[in-house]
Amino acid sequence: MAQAVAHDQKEHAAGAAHGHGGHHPPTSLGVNTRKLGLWTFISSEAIFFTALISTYLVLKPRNLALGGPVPEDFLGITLTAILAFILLMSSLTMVLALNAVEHNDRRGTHLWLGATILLGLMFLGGQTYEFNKLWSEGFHTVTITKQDGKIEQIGVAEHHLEAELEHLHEEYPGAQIQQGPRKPVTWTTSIFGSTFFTLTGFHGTHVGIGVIWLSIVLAMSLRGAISSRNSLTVEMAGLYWHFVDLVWVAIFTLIYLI
Amino acid sequence: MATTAVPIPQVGERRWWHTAWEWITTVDHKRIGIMYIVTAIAFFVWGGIDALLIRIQLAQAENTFLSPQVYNELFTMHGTTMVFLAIMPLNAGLGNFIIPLMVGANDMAYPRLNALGFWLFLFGGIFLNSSYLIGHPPDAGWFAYAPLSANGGVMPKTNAMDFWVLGINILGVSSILGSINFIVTVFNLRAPGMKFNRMPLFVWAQLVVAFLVIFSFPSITVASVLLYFDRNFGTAFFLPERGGDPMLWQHLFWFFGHPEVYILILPAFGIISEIFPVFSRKPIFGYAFIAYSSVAIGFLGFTVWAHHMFSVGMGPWANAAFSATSLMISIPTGVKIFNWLATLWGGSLNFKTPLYYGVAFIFLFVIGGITGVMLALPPLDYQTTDTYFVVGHFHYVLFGGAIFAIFAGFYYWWPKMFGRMLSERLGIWQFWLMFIGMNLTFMPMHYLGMIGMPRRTWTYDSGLGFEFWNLMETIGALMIALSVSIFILNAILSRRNGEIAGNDPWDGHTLEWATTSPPPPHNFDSLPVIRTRRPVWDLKYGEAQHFTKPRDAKAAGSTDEEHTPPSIHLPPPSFYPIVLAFGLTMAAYGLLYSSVAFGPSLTAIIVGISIVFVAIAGLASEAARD
Repeated sequence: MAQAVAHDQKEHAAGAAHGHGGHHPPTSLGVNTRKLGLWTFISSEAIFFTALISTYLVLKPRNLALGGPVPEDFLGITLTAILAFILLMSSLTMVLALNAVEHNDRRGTHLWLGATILLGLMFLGGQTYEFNKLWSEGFHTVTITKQDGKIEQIGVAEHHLEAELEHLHEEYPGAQIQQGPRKPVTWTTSIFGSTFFTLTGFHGTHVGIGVIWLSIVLAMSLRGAISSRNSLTVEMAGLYWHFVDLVWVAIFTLIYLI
Repeated sequence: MATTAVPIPQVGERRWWHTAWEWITTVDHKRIGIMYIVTAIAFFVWGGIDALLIRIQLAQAENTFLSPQVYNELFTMHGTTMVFLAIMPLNAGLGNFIIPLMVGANDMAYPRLNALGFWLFLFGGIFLNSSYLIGHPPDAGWFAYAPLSANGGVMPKTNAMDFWVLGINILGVSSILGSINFIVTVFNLRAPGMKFNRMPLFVWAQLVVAFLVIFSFPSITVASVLLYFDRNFGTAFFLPERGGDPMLWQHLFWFFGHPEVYILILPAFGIISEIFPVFSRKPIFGYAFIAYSSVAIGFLGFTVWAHHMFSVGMGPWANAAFSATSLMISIPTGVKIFNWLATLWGGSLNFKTPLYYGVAFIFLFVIGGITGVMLALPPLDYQTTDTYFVVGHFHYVLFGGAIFAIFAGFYYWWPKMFGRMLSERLGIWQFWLMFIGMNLTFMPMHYLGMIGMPRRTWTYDSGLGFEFWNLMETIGALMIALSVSIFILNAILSRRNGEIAGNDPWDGHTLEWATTSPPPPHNFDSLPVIRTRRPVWDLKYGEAQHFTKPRDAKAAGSTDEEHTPPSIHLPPPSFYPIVLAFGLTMAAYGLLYSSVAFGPSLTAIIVGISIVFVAIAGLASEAARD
């Protein structure tokens, strides 16, 4: 029985060693209580984004069947690859910021936290640019009434329109081809717009919240309120930030690449 | 066994607003638990009145007591209230009060977040029910099937379902925050020696429920937010004529909705697992099997959601797969039933009110479980879907199961919460009225469903053979109402003249019985050494295993109400939780009118969110000072 007690004490000693909170008491699991709470919250957020991504993927074929815009025409891989790179770099700077805090390197902390915030803002800027481009370019719903009476609709991007119309006339000789009016790709003009803007909008909001969070941490650090004793403050913001980056990797892969 | 009956010290000039302020700013898990329970009982009565009105309407054929519209509103609000505002918070309240005591902690992991969870629950409930006064109550069913709930050009547009969408989201935030708190508390704040495999089974069940909440609620959050966009901003996620998919709503809803069933019933399993060993004076039979069955039920609960959708045309393969996974759930559930029976078997039974409810729970829950197995078979489901058979089934599970277990829990833990016993005499009266009333109300529903009575329909033609049993059901519902009134009477009488309970009235074996009734603010002056699953039993009947500190010191300390050992730090009261909940609710009212009055709506949203930010900043600075 003495053994059991000794074992319990060992568990607690381990708890104290793992926790970064400094003055916080040891925990049964050995993980800091605040950090465990954030992990739990993040696991819930993961389901939130899974549901949004699933919504996008489930409705994708319906969008095409109704003559909605074809995502590939609008979602430039180049721009979003750059955005993905920016976010991944921001994860690196985040790690460097935490490392600087743990070594009580104040200049490094400010530098890397500032860099992370800047990269986050660059990402948001890129997203704004992309949203604006989608809206300003627009698409036409082209209705093809084939000779056998079958009707098919496709959504064609503005810059593809002439080439696509020529191509359609060649592919369906004798078919009646009508082009609809130009519509911007917005939240409401097509299912693609609804799902795309909702998903990336919620992600962008999360990035925005991350930027605010990191800015508060940076402000605290500038006032000298952050040191290796409470590096947990930085680590928590970092955990959330890495999660938001990871969600972008999933969105980039499932929405842009596939 | 000296116990003080008055929980709050009587200081000279003490006015009611001092007490009110104390409760509003409290971060003590015991007070928060009591607030959860009291509020949830109020909503339980409220939802019960909905049900009584429904039953009065259905008491005779071609009745015109209610209009079809009001009938739709009542069954929607009855379902929503009972699920989100009654059973869930009753479980959350019991968990809040009991879990920290059971694992030997001084409070929850995040006391302020805990208070926030309660205020969001209260404000979310008020928000939802304010639809009666300032708008239209939700009227598309608690499952809010789109496109009906999206007003797809068929129904006159009211903001009824916006109340539902926004209310559900406030309650969702409350549930997710509460569950994070439960998970971290159970993982991190267990007393030395309280290993996972020594935790009381109620704690196990609540832990699984907390995981179910954090993994299932995001799905309804997404679904309801998309529905809100469809209703107010012109998107078409669920509107088939513009390319949306009503099936998508059903999948997203039931991916939440089915785990929700286990969120409601698993705490009941936990309560029963605590009560049976105490009242049969035997250790629980098959502790590990019961604990891991909870985990198995929780896991399988995420694989069965589409059995609510057999008749929508998913095709035979999907139906067969979801049927198979649904049937699998009966295995861990059956394991539990047999373990409980084996616990009773050969025990020296102490037939008090909690055990009455416990035994009735087994009987009623098994009936609900068997009809559940029947409904898991697509051919039978085709015949009975949207009939009263289904209504009978889930009321046996949620009333016969969850509510009976919750009453068992009330009678069992009431002495610990308030220091006084509930009356056994009234308890037994209440039990028999509720048991007979419950069976009279819900058993005939199976028969009525089988002969074709549809649910969610405001009336029925005479001459179909529905009249007699519907009248009986209404009489049964009135018996349930009487029974609930007796409970409330019992609770009020107990506060005044209830028998003083003492620390351990039931000869219990879990840690909550090692402290005073009601417990002091910091719960324990000292804890028994925990070497088994029954630490308090060991203390009373074991060998020379005693408290880590001498108990005499504790007995002396308990006369002084404000006494807190210097080593225990409790966070100070905080008013930021209620402020944050207020701000969020204000923003929700803003969102309610976003498509009608844009300016005022935007103002309310901005002011509300600003209040939320100020409150978050306040909470963060308080946390930093701890």
